[in-house]
Amino acid sequence: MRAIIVAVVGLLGLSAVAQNKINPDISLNALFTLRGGTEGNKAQSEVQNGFALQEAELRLTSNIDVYFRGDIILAVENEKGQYSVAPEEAFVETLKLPSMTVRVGKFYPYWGRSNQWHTHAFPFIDALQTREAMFGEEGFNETGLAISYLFPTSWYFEGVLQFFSAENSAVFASPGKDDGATVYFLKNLWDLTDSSTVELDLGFGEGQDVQSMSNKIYNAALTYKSKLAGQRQLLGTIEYSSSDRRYFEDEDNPGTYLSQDKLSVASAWLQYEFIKRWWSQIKYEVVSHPESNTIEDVKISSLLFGFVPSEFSAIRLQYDWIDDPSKSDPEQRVALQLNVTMGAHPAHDY
Amino acid sequence: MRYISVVLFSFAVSFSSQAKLVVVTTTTTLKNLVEEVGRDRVSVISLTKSTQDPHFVEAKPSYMVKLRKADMLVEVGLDLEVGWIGNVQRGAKNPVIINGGPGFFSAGDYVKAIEVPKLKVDRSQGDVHPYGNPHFHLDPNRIVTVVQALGKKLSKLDPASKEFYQNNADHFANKIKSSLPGWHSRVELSKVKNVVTYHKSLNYFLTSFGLHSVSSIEPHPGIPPTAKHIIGLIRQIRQEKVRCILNESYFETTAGERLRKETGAVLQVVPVEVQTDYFELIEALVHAVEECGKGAEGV
Repeated sequence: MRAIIVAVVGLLGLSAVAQNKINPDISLNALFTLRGGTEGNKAQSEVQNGFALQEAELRLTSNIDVYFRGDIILAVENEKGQYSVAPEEAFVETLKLPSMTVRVGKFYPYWGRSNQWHTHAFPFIDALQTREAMFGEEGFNETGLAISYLFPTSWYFEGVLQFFSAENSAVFASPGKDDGATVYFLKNLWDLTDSSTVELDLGFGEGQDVQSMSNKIYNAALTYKSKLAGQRQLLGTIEYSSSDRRYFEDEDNPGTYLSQDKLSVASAWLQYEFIKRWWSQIKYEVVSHPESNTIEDVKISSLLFGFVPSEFSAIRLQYDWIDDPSKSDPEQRVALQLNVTMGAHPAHDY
Repeated sequence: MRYISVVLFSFAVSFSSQAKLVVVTTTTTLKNLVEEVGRDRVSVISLTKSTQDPHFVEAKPSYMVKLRKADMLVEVGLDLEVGWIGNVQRGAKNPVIINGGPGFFSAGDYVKAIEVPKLKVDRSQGDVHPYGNPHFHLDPNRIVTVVQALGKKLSKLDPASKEFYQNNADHFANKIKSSLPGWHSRVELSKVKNVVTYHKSLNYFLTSFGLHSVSSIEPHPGIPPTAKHIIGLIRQIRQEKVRCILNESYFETTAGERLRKETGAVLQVVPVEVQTDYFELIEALVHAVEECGKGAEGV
């Protein structure tokens, strides 16, 4: 009897070990914030003063079989105190195609420098305007297909062709599922030295939405990254995004439109690890409507200090100065964030 | 027509027999081992430099370019490169070198690891490797096993050169075996017994040469030293009469310098990865222990 018990316990142990080895990698990110700001006590304010769970994110990643890999990210989002759980990304991608990867599902498209970053990986506490002003709070997140190809060049040169159902409310919001958006993306990265790189990203997208006849988006981003002595880093990025919507095509003059709405967003930021694990960062962003005589540019300046004790935790303090001419006074915000990661989180892209 | 076919076939055979296997390794030590076995029939690139800490490497896209057409990827394994190699493998879009692919080789699969946690691990213990200490390359005996396995793997990828690879692996193993007694006697003559290291990178070397790791400058793996930990370490070095501090070259030496000044122990900054060849690496470590023995006779 004792031998049977020992055998059963042994088998259970083995099965637990085997299960651990075959389970997907599971991780949880959580972002806790304490905010204070001149507008933060007003009901219509984007961010409210006080403590908050900014976001939590559960991620499961695994190879499915020898052909496919899967990634599912569920986000617990806090919308002014109301929590909701939503799939942020759920996609499958190929493992076996030479020089090529095909991704299918709901995901952040390959677009610009920052679009694929999740909230816990943002360089600043809140999303960059090249993402939020362009695509709304949820960013550019669509359901569709991406085919990426690594060109046989001496530098890193990747081209991505993407087709989506064009559901993003800020730029596409297509009334019909068959009105898709096509997005092209090119990523180039050169090693300048053993410890420094420069990256150039270029993107173009085109789709239709419920109102406009033609809807185009553009992006260009340039990033410099350098490893400094003492295992420190310096990063600088300039990113520009714009959208161009044209309504009501003139029947007598095809190709000309009676109405036009352009949005341009520029973000520039610098991240400097002045002592190992201690960061200082600055950011400047401009959101403008170049064709509008009534909407003035919004300018945002930010300053951040961060302490990153390990790869799995960070404490960051940020100050924002938001100059929106539609408001009587510039808005000022201060935010303190604790950013933690538990479990086996996949490495972030370079 | 038949003549043309024969010429084309001969050309193809001669081309393929001359083509070198393109091998990418994660460390310079693995690069050197592949070169020892493959010699002029392999072309080997290491993704990291000998001065880089392989735990914390960023998955640079240029690494993906190097792996795009590789025939083989050689990693240390035991989760040493877990933070970055997966991204490089996927980004290279080369199915040959992904885990389970015909060109994937994880050296850790062929060695018995030390310091395998017996209980559940979590990150409050620092950067603990659940499959055990992955720095086995500093144990010459374990490296012989890896080299023999590399010989078999290269033979599978290039069966025509099977004997060549096997002979080279055997030659390397014999060279290690003949060097071991000399290294052992030099360490013994140094009279050094207790050693402090920065990280647990040298524990296989210490175990293999009968040395004892008293403690690490890091309070936990991957966590920089605190003032409190250093004060405790100074006391421990004095109590246990530690004569030797081996500070791995890719870690900072400020804390090691303070320990040296406070305790009189000898600080030696030592390489962890191969700079020229494997024998020179072990030679450098043995020499550092000898220097500790010479410099701290009064301690």
